[in-house]
Amino acid sequence: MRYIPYFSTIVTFLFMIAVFRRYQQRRGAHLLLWGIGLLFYGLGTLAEVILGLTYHSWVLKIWYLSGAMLTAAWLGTGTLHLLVRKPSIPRGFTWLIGLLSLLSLILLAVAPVTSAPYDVQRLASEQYKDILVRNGWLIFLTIFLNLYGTITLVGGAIYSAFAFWRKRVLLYRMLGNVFIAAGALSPALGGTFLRAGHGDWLYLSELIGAILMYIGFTLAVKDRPQ
Amino acid sequence: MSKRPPSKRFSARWLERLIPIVLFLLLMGLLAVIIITALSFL
Repeated sequence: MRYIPYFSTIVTFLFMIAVFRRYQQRRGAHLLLWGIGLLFYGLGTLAEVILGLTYHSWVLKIWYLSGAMLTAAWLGTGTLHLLVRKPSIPRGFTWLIGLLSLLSLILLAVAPVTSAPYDVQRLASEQYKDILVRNGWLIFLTIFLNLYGTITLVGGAIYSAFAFWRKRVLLYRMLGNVFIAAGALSPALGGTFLRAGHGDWLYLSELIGAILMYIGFTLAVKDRPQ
Repeated sequence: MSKRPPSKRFSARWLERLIPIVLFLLLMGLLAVIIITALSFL
C-alpha cells in the first residue's frame, strides 16, 4: 500500500501535462482549471510519497490542502466552465473557489500541530487527525469544497454522458465521461471511507481515480472535430 | 462535454442498454458520497 502513491503521482502528472498541452493548443478555461486541479491532485500524492519517507508538518499540511481540500473543487469548477453557457456563473464560482482556496491556505498555515509521533511506516490518512489540529472552519471548508467539487465533477460527467447517450452521438466522448465520472467518484469514496475511519482505502482509490480519469480524458478528446 | 456535438449517430444495442445502468450506479455512488459526507459533518 505504501508504494501506491508513487504510481498515482506519475499517472497524475502525466495526465496534467496532457491537459496543459491541450490547453496550449485549444485554450478554454475548463482545461486550465482541470490542469490546476490535477496539479493539486499530484501534489497530494507526491506529499504521500514524501510522508512515506520522512515527516515534516508542512508536507502534511500540503497533503491535506491539496488532496483533501482543493483538488475536487478546482476540477469541478473546470467542468462548470464546460457545461454552463452563461459565462458569468462559472466565472463567479472560479472567484469563489479562488478565495476559499486562499482562506484554506491561510487557515492551514496557522493550524497548530500536536507533538504526537508520526510513523512513516503507516499511511498519512491513518494518523493525520492525531497531528493536525483542524478548527471548525477548516473542517467546514474541507467538507464544502469536497461536496461542491464532487457534485460538479461527477454530476457534470454523468450529465454529459447521459446527454450523449440520449442523442446517440459522440460515442467516445460519452464513454470518456463515464470513465471520468467513475474516476472522480473513486477518491471521493476513498475520502468518505477516510472520514468513516477507514484510511487504508484512500491511496488505492486515488490511483484508480487518476487512471480512470486519464483514460476518460483520452477517450473524450478522440471525438473532438479537428 | 461538447456544446455543439456533430450529428453523427452511433448504434450498438448492448452499449445502449448498458450505459443507463452504469450511469444509474454512478449516480447512486454520488448520492452515497453526499449523504455520508453530510452525515459525518453533523
